[in-house]
Amino acid sequence: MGISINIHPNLRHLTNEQDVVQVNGNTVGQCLEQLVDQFPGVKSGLFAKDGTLLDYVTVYVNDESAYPEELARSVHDSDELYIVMMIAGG
Amino acid sequence: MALNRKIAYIELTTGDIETKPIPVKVRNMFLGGRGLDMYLMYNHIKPGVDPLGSDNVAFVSAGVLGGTLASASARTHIGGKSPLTGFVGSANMGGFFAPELRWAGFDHLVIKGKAENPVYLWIQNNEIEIRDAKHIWGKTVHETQEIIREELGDRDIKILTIGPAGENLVRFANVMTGIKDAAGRSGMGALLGSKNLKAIAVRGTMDIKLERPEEALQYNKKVIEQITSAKVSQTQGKLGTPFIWGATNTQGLVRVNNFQLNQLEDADEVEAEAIDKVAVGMAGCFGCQVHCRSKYVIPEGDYAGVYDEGPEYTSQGAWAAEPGCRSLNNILVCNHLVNIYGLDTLETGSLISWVMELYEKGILTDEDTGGLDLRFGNEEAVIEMIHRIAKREGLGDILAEGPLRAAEKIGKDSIKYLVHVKGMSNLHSDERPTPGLALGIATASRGSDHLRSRPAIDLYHLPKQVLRNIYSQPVPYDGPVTSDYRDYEGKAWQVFWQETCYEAVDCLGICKFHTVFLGASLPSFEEWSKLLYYNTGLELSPLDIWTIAERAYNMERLFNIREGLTREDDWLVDRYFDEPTSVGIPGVRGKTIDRDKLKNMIDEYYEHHGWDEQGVPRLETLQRLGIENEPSHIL
Repeated sequence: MGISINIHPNLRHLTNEQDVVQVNGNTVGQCLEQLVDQFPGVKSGLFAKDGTLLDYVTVYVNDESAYPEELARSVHDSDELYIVMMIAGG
Repeated sequence: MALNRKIAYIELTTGDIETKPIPVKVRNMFLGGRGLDMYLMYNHIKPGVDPLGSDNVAFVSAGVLGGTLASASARTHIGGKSPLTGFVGSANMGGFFAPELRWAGFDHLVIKGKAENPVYLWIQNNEIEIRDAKHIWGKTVHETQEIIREELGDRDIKILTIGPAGENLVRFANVMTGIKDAAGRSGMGALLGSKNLKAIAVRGTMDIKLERPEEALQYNKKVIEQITSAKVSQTQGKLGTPFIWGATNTQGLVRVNNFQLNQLEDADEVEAEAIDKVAVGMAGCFGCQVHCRSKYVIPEGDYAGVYDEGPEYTSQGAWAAEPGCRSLNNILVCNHLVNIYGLDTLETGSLISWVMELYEKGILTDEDTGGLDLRFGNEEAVIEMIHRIAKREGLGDILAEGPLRAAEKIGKDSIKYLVHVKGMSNLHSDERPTPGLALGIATASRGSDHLRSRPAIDLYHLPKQVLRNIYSQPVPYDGPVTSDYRDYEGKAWQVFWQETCYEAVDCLGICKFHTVFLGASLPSFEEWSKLLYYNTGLELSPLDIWTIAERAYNMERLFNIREGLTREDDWLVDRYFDEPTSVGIPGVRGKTIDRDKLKNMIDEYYEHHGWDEQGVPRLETLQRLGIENEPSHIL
């Protein structure tokens, strides 16, 4: 089974155009670490220098925002993660 | 009670002033703010009037929740026939004016005629006085407010004003309040200027009696928690709207060198983090907990030491991406200049970048520019052009007429390089990779615009079920939804839904940043229904509010059609179809909008509205909304 990470369209050129990547982990952070292990290029598109998610990046677990726990949010087998980029304003 | 504020009809030619209550029946039809203004516009502006003539009418209003406990109930709406487009003129700003207007007893001002000499209005607790403004004519936005506060002896007076650009009838002049809050689209500043109306000063101490104060307090606290707990709100409070620049520019979603590129390279100084380094704090509007507006002091150059506020994301585009400039100082100076002149930052930057492209292509010569070197990246030339537009000097005088009139005067294929819809320039965003956003700017009632119907969360990549939960309330929707912003399917509904959502919040008078414009977890129709009930006593379901917004948007459509709008006006310029994006990430590179697919989206969008294939509201739609007999002249 494992956990599916749905990749934001803006990052798919860094995941060999895969829109879904399979990983394992107990937290959002562990899953994203595995994603970075498979595709190191996505790291700068997700993380700030201090290791937190970028200000405009967040993650949904199934249909719920993982914020404010974010990287510490626990996940379970067959969960679906969505990488979300909040890029709206004016 | 919260619904006893009145309409004031102010005839500047004669000096006559009349006030009327707003019947609950009308509230239930249009609420207030932009919605009721649209009713009034359709009823009071005669077809075909000159937008800068004395027959045009200016409307100033607060939303029905303005000045209550509802979070960020700060928005002021300005309406009238647009001097820029000839269609609906409508602009909306934050700050503190609208709550003060309500505390002074008024929800809507209907301003007719033209004063013989410059005047300003002084409104205080149910009294309205027309005062001489000759001594402030020619003053900047900031100077005007200081002088009025000084002469009236009250630092708490709130003022909306035009700057020199509005006085000079620049067709995209703003109405401003405070340091930088701008009703900044469609030329409402020129409309006030054409009436010799420099400013409106207001002071009110009349409490708004809430219908259910304890419940209103408790519920609003819950809504505040809902807003402030969202990551997007916290990021906005930290960096303001510029926070999205890094992402959009990295992807290749910004217009650069007018429309020739879609990504600005070597732009570190344009980043939100660079602005944050010179910021001296953040400011907010009435009743807002987010505080998304940077405060700054210009660090160097001719304007070193000058205080201002902003810049917003729009100004990063207007003063960096579009004219191909890269210095932070330039952005801060240009932002300051448009604030004090009262110019639409977005329109001004877009037009300057357009003539820069014309200059580089040889369509404009040194003789045309008065010797100004208008190559992309020349920051001094950009600053000089702002002065010339505001003062209507040389080429600036031509641009002050707005895109279409300027293209006609310049001639020589210049219109081919213009990026506009309905005669209004677009934001610096590049919609070629984003069909949903392209549909939004093509169909927006006031011309190319990102705040009228943009499904901004289309860019987020939210789970489909989250999107379905949003887009199937308060009216059912079982059509397609997609998490990929590059898709065409389902986007017509998204645009229709967001358009109705934004109309609703503009009737309520609350900020779009506190809605699903910015985040899936932010308030929507369900919350607004409760806020209305606890604060005003109006018992309107989420579906009722949706219907009110639909009604108001159809009034805008009727107004535009009466002024000659056709389906051809709901369209993009050829560059969107014929010139592929050339840079950016692979997913957005090589993109154009597909003409046939856009046409199909527009057909579907019209169908959602209940409009015919020409975009005209069907009789049964007008009957369903109860506006088949407009203009009814109730107010």
